[in-house]
Amino acid sequence: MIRPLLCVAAESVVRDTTSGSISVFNILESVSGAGFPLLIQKAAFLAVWERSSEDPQSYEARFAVTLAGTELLRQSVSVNFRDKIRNRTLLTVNGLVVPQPGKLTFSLTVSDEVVASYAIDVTATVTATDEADAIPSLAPPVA
Amino acid sequence: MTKLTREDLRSLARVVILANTAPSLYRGLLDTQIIPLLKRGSSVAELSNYYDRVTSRAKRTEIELGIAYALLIALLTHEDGAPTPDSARLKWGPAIAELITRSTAATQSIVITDGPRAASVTQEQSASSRSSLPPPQVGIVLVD
Amino acid sequence: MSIRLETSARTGIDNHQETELSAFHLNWSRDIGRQHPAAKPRTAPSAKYNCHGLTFASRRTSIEKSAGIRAILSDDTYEEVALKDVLPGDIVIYRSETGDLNHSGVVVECGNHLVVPIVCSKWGSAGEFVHGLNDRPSLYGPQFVFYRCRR
Repeated sequence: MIRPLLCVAAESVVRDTTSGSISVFNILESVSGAGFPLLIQKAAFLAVWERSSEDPQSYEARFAVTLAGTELLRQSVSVNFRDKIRNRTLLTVNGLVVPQPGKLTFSLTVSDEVVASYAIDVTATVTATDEADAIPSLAPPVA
Repeated sequence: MTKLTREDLRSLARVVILANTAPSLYRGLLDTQIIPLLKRGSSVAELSNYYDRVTSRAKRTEIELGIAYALLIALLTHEDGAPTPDSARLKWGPAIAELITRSTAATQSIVITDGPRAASVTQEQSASSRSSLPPPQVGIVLVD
Repeated sequence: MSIRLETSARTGIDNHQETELSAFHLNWSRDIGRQHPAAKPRTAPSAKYNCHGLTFASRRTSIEKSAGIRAILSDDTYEEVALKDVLPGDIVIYRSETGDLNHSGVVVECGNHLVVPIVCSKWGSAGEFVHGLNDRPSLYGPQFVFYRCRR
């Protein structure tokens, strides 16, 4: 059975067309926004898989982005090893809308069994206006 | 057809002379950067014909051996799905073919884009209203 | 052509002897010396043996497969030695990132007066060179491990 070697979400994942090397830029560790829904303009997910030579070449997989268990995005993907032992699957999402803070999980599930997933926290930042409202007034109440 | 310079040919011969093993030959040829040059400058058919021509000679110089191995690697790693060359024509050909299978990976790249609502999503966000927004749709799928 | 080569546990080791060296080859070998000016050439080029043939087969033949080298290391009870404990006579094996055993040599000099050991190794079908541990063609791989036969 295939197994995931690596998965990560970042702002972008690119492949050098000359050398074939993969580079990951600005790994997502947490995202914060002043207001929701929050638009993540660009997010990329990289999963590296390995199989043994006896395993099949091609697998049906499901890419999903969920927020606290609620699915925001789903896409069917065919993971194909093309005679190689490793497969690298890069998924770029242009425009991901996050409706509220919570745990945002990127996952690629192969044949309903093997999952590569990566989760980050989405939080709300406290703005200056919010802080002013939060701090109680020190002035004595007007009689 | 790719034109290799005198220095390119010297690099190839140097690698052939220095390599002790098939993996070291493979690594040395990759380091010369000539393989991407061959892939960019020639079609798959040209590379394939050139490989057949170079490997049909019984006696080969170190330069010809270097070119032959470089062509083999270019064909085995070509993104356009080149027909599989006969690696057994070269002493270390089968070992290099196995190394390529073992060491390289198939890569798939898929882009999921939002549809025409992208602009409106941004505006709705700045108004910080909580609206029910549609999920992104599949726009482009690129597989290589 | 090959010779009968075995480990001390009678495991057969694949090997191969080439014989021909072209004039072209001899010419290029001089060029290799220029690329590594600090490395001292020790012998003339020879196609009969490679680096592993020097290290493990007394210069009689070429050993090209990593599996053969691993069999020798195992059957002949070689053990790893840390860099700080290396002594002349120990062997060094250079590896690729993927574990291929691409090159080997024999430590000829080491000690506090040296930053790194000095090694004698055969560079492909060029000649033998006496060189600093890291002063060798990069195609042999970035990693190295020292071994000593514990008999």
